[in-house]
Amino acid sequence: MRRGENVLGVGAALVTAALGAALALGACASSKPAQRGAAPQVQAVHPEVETGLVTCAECHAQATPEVAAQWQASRHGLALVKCFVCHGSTGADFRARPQAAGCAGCHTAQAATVSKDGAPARCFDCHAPHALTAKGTSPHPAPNRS
Amino acid sequence: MALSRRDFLKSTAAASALSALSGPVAAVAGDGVTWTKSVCRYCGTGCGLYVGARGGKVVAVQGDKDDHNAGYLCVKGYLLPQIMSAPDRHLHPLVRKSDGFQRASWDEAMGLVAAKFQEAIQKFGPDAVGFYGSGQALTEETYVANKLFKAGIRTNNVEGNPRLCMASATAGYVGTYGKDEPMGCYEDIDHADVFLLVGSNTAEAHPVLFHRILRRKESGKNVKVIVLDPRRTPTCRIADLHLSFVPGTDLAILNAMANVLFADGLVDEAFLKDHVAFGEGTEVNKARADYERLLADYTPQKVAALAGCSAEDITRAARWFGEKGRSAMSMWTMGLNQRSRGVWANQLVHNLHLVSGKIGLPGSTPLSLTGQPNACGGVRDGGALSHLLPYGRLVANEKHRAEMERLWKVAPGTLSAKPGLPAIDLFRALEDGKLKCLYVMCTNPGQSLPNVERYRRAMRREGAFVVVSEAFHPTRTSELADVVLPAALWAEKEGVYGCTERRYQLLERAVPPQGEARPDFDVLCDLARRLGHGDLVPFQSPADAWEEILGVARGTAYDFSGMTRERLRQAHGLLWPMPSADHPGTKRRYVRGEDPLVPADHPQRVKFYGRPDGRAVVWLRPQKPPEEVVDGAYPMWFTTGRVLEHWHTGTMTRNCKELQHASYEALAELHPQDAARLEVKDGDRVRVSSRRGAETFRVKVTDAARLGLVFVHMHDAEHLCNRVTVDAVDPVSRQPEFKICAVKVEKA
Repeated sequence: MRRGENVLGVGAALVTAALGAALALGACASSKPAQRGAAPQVQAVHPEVETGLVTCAECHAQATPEVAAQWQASRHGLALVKCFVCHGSTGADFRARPQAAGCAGCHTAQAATVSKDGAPARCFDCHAPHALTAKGTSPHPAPNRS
Repeated sequence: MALSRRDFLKSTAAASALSALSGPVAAVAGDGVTWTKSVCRYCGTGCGLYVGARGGKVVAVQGDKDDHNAGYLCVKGYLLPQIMSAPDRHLHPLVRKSDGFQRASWDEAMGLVAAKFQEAIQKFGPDAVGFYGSGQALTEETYVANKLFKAGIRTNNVEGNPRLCMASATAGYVGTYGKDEPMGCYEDIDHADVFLLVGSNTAEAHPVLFHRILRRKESGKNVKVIVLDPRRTPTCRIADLHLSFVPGTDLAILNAMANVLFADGLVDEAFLKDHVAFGEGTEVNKARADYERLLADYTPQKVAALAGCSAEDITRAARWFGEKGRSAMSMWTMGLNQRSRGVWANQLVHNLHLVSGKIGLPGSTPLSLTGQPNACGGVRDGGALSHLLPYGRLVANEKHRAEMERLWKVAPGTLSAKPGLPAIDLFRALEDGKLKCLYVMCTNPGQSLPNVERYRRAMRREGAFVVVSEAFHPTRTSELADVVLPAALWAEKEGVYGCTERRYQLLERAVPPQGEARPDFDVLCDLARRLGHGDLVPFQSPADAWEEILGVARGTAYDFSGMTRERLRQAHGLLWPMPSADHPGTKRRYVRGEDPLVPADHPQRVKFYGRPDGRAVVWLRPQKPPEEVVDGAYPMWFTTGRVLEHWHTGTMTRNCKELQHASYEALAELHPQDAARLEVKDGDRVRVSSRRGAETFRVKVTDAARLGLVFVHMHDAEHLCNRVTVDAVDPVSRQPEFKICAVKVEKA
């Protein structure tokens, strides 16, 4: 698969996410969106929130707009692999830094062949969080659908 | 004394929250995990996966990279391990006594079930009992139920929830091609230049297939995606054209698209001449000129005025679909099927393919998407509906009955010639007392039937005896039952699932059943023996039943007799027809060189061998409004459907911690102008009422809604959209019109 392309007309190329921005999740403390442009805070916890009316992405479109936009324009965003898949739910089950092992749930073959410049690596060494794009030659095998 | 559903959920909520149900992420990295090949428990996409188990518990899943899904899973499938240890897993039999449900032994519960069924059969005849099964049951389970009721008890009252989801697709295929099930396959997605998604929110209902479409759109040249849906769903994010319309006018739109194909010279003349016949009503007695005369009434301009859309959009959709030299693939689901003219809607999609010749070629095919993992394999193919016998045979056909009597080794005349009652009629028979006993397996009609309060009352009617076999309790059905049997769940048992594309896959047992739960296969065999029909089920295991099933399918248009258990164990899904152990399977049915049932020397590229003349039928079907239309008293349209995070009645997904935080509650989605008119905003409560009933929902205002249309998802067990929906049915398929009714909406 070609990397980094964006042929779907769903947004311009996005800036690679900085890890700090990626972790600015603690900003959303209630169903009320946080102030746009609030300084990113790195928090390992996410309070329990009332999610009946608003989705993670809707709240984060205001709480952490860059991150939300990167996700939305990504493969995960288009294919509706939503925030909670990697980050868990809010509250005690929240994972600020998704474990790379979790990627193997859908990307078994890729997780088994993670390397960078010939050396073992972690998924996010190459793939920008949320945007998930990566540069260079893929070390992973092509899909083998039966 | 059993707790009420509300109290039970309250008492388990705290425990559930504390347990923080360990997800697959933590477990994947762990040691000592054994992996067993299986299939996702949810939708009809049938994604292959491996179940990771440790210490007898399911701790993880991983997508099967060698299956059609190339390792991808949707959010629901990814979180599957959590359903196994849900706090409301039902782990021992319950029998209703005067003071509520009491725990019982298996012997006591099954003794009571057998006695009640026996008594009803003796007093009132075999048609006083019935079976209501599921497109989620394993093929072997459904097979045993079908055989027990039809050949043992001798009633054709064998139904299932596929009547609510796939009956119109089935009747559409049978009417047009003579045989049920699609001719295309998922691989066609990789070759399609144009996608027509109609009545399908693919992105949410079939996410892994949507992902494959997405990839095709990225890699193909000028790939177009057309979405026909009143709502602007997430599927529309990749649409080149979203055509929104007044609910119920899509029959006219599909005819208008055919009109454009003729007007613009996009018809495949040779294909029409060689492969197509024309019909109206139930007779294949029309000519092409008759069809063109019908279409003349459906100009884009005229239809646009009716449908509340633009004529240019209709024309554009048709031109894209029909453009010469480009492939076109249609996919649809409940938007077309759950309609009082669902069969017609299906056939109007087939018409577009037949007229343009875009069928039976890579990337050109009409592919009906299935909602449940084994509606196709178990119920449709297995013939576990009230008018069917296994593998394309019909109850009403004397030759077919005789054939099944021979295969099932029962005396000639054993099988009743009278078709049983389709789902809604079955529950109406319970209501009026003609049906005394109903065995419900792996489904939740107390929540999922349309106009549900009516049928909830029927299930609790004095004198009705309802058995529910379920992995969870309480559900909105088990709470109404007289006996609740604890069913083994998914990875706790072995059997075959058959998904949308004629792909059969084996789910192997990964862990033992919890508590006293037993696989439905064992329970049904037990019931058969207790009713004196043990000779019909001489099976030690589902594998034994599979051997018999292969023999029953042999020589039919479904022939998968080459699909041995061992082959299924090794393979990552096999597509029928597969008439011998060395046959590779069939990606494209009816196609010379691919389908073993088409002679290799057939002069044309396809042969529609399902029909006696070898031709597919273009049916002349006029626009017809839904059963209920908006009026002064009920001025808004009401429609229901799926969301990404939940599935069916939520018995499984609502147990997943992450999914409890995502679209858990059914909200009434309203267009901003409707919200303004009703003076409601996000979070306000509205009472949605129809002529049948009412339910209160919180409001979500969204410009993705169509003006005048309320959407509510169907997964919420506390806010039942089906109190509102209509139980009118398609006259041919007998499938209810869940998708459209008229309501009034008031601030609550």
